[in-house]
Amino acid sequence: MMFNFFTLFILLQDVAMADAMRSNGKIFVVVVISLIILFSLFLYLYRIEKKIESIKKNK
Amino acid sequence: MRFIKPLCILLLTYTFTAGYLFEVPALPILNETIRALYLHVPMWFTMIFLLLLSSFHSYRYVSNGDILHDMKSYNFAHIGVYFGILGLLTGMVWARYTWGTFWTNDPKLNGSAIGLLIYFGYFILRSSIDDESKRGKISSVYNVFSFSMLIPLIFILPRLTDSLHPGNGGNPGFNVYDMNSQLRLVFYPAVVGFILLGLWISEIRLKMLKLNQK
Repeated sequence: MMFNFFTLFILLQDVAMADAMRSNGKIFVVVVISLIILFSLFLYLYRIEKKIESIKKNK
Repeated sequence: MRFIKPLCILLLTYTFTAGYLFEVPALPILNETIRALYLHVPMWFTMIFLLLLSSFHSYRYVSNGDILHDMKSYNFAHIGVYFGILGLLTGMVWARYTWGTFWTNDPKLNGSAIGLLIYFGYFILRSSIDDESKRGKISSVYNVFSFSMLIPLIFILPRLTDSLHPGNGGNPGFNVYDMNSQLRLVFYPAVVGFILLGLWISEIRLKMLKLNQK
């Protein structure tokens, strides 16, 4: 019972949180996640290219 | 090509942010999946571009016999077909939630599948011949042929009958009405970005092929 009142209290209150990521139906979260994947792919491509270059030099 | 990598990173970063955030036309059935336009269609554009380069290098190999052209044409075809497979897979998921099934008998779907199968034939043909110059000549001729098959399969035949794809089945001159300026704002940068990504990957793979050759 106590818990329920507490949650209700929290839900009713307009608590200031980091709302930037939650606006527009949380679409920004999806943007950040896809950017993480995209940039790690770029980094991976870049590293592979560097590795091939170094193999080329050693040969 | 110095500008490929920075421009590719810039354009794709733009695509993956603006693609989700910019406003899109609200259409029934499509809903938010209209944003898949920014990812699904550039796959095909990239495939066509890389396969065009591939058949161009095949043509160059046949005319001057430089083995580097054969290597390049094989490489571009390889990466191009990868993008084609991605186009098929993304299109299947999109079709499931808008047209109702993963695969319909849409002429564009069957045409692109046949086109990809022709290219699979190219790889099998290549791997079955050991002699280098013979392999280069035969597969180059086949490659030019398969690109000229791809054009009617993907661009001409779907227009002759009805197709679920917008802009097909009828006069392509009316395509202007299928896409509005909001979509173009992300779509064209996305196409260029993915083409540059394809070029980047082919560049890396070509270096690897050259290393293997030595």
